[in-house]
Amino acid sequence: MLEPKRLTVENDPLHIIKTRLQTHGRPATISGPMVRYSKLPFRQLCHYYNTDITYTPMILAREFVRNRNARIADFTTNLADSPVVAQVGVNNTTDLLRVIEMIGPFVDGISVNCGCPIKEQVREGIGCALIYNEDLMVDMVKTVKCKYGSRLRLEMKIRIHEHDKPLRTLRLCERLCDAGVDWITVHGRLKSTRSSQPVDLNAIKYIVDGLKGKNVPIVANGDCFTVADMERIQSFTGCHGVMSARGLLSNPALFAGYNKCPWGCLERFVYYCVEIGGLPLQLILHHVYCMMENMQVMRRYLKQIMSLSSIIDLILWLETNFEFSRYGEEGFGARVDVPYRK
Amino acid sequence: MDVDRTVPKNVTTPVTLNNETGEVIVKKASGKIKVRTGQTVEDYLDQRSQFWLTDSKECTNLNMGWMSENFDIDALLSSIDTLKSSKHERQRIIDYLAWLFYYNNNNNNREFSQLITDKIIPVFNDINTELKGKIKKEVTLLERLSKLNTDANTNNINTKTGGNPEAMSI
Ligand SMILES: Cc1cc2nc3c(=O)[nH]c(=O)nc-3n(C[C@H](O)[C@H](O)[C@H](O)COP(=O)(O)O)c2cc1C
Repeated sequence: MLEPKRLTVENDPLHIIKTRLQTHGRPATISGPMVRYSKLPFRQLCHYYNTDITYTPMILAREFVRNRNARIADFTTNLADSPVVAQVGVNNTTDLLRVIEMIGPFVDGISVNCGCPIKEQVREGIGCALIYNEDLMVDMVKTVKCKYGSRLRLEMKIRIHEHDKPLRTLRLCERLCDAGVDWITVHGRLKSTRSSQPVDLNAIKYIVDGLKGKNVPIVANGDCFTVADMERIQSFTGCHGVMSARGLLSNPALFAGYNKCPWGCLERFVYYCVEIGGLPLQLILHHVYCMMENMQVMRRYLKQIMSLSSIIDLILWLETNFEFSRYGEEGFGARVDVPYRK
Repeated sequence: MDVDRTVPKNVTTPVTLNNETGEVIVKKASGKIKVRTGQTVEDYLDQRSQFWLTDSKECTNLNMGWMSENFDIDALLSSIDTLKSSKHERQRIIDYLAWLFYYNNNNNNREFSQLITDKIIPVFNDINTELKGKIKKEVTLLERLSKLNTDANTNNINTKTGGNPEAMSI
């Protein structure tokens, strides 16, 4: 019988979230779950650039516990991928207990996705549906914590029910705290809010303030694209951690203080993809596209990326058009500006 | 203060029918109620031990350098049935080639090409014939990769749209 991975001050996400303000003078830095995108090479890249905790993409519990192919496609990890939180999409406590038992020995925490607004999931009672099924959420937390106590970290990632002073959300959070949740991530948008709308920091602050007596940290999520955003979000809301998703997708070096993705980050990403393997080509190219778009690489280059037909072609294309270093070569990972070849 | 606990119309409340198996009722798009069958304890335990004893050995040990220590290209190429049925397994071969290529800059290009032409393409050609041409694209990619010559920096970069190497260097 395997036990959940052992938690130490190095890998316990709760410890990190609770202590970063004191030890580092900044909130814990967290990369958000992103279906398709937050896979191992990307997470390792975020860790390299000062992200304290990373999340896997949402893993559907029902598939994971029944289907080998789903497991192989959905989950990979390595020693450098820590602390990592496995995020699950789930609509019942039995599947949750099973997925935790299976994957718990290989990750540092579990997150339940209570924020995904995609119709197919909401219809199944997964994602955002859960914030309207408060009793089920509370049952999930109680049952998991009753079985594992502090040997396993459990987070709930939620959206808010209404703007400004979301009382229903606060009441839900209070119940989750009483049930033993380790921390809560609040994405300050409604089920129906598009990500182009600004995040509601008042609502997050309202929840942080309302939970002051509970000793359960809150992670604020939404619209963090720079370190300045991170600082502003923290000082406004009083949260313990800041999670970024789209910001890191286009600039994985965000939390290291780069306002634009540095060239070296792209070199490192290609290196990790090559070393780890397993990422579909289109996904690699999309990451490269997002980073290069963030670097404001000339459009005529951007247009070519998505039609490259293998990772080898990508490397050759980078070497033809830019000064691109492979791992071990001079300058690898160090350049900041785009080094166009003349 | 009392809280409004209304559940929006398009949000499902899943109802668990059986705690032991995780059987639940959910709503379909049409509004119809649908049962999502549970998983027996036996099946779960089988899946768990498969994951713990076998699959996790592979998917949790992808450390830097794992390919240089653990990648057995010959074993992979000899499991024809697996390669035939799994694009994922075939992709592992392409990944391995990318790894070789990445570290063999200006060296061993011959070896790299020979590995592809002598060992990999014949296997992929056989599979392609058996699968009635379904993996032709993969064979074409391999053929092209076998001709790469990074030494001379005459890169045969290909894109799915153009494919003209001249057009690629701006
Ligand atoms: C491509 C993409 C995939 C996402 N996948 C997930 C997911 O699997 N689970 C989840 O809880 N949130 C998911 N999200 C939401 C993000 O984790 C995050 O809550 C949201 O994007 C707001 O943060 P941001 O403003 O920093 O992007 C996804 C977002 C994006 C852009």
